[in-house]
Amino acid sequence: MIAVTAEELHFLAAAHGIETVPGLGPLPLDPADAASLRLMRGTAERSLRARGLIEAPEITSLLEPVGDPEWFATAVRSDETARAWSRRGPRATELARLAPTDYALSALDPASIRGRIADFLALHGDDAGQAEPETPDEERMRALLAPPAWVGEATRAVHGDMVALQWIDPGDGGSVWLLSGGDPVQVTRTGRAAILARLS
Amino acid sequence: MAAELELEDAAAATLEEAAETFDDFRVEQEKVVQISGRPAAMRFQSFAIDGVEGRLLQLQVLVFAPPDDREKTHDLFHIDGTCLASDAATYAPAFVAAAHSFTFT
Repeated sequence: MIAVTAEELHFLAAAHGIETVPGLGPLPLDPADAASLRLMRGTAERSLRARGLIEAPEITSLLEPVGDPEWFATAVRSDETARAWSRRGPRATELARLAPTDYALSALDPASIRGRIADFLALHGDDAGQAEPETPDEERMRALLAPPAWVGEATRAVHGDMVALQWIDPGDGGSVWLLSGGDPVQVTRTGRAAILARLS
Repeated sequence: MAAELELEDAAAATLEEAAETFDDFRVEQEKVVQISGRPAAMRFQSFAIDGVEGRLLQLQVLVFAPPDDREKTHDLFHIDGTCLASDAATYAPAFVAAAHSFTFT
């Protein structure tokens, strides 16, 4: 596992010709401000150089699946922690957002991604069912979102196909409530295995 | 500091100065943060000092005061926290929290 800041990862991605890193958030300062951009570049370069990470083989290896993924998925929990998994051939990389501008890069076995998604999003279980959609009123929505409930968001993409899901997890280990966009918002009681199947 | 001096210049200059001053100087990590809504340069550095057993770890934070009516100069705040590297797990989070608690009124 290699810990990196947002500015370090942006710097490394640019150095490797990578335009988009799945799961990487914005820079800590406004990149349109010349002085801030200069500070972020200088800071990232000094920090990476001091840690021996510029042109490090392990960084190149970790970024290989990220730069041109055959498949990737991203996930965000309502506590603002996030993960992204990128896969290319026999290699996969997990990007974990640990704090707003702090990340960790890890290599992992592509076969373990499904389990990693299930762990992070609490999607373990056998229930693959899905009920009919409901249109909750304001009071019902407040009840669904009452603690310990939390909201999960995830995407899964391959070339030409992308899935984006958002759901309310009641926090009780039972079914979740899949949210459908639009007006009015609809919720659908959905088994955790059904959500995981659509993401992995 | 002269008004044209940017935070990146201050970060580079203080790094050079520290590297020349301390024995066995090493940058552990640098990052950009915001202190009281202002851009700030944060650096963890470690070094050795004669008479002290074990390395020292130091957090350095640099942040300029908000603009005022002066045109030729601006104030640079330089915040340091230093502890034995072996005590980093205890003190480093406290140093970071102290730096983030700094506010301009």
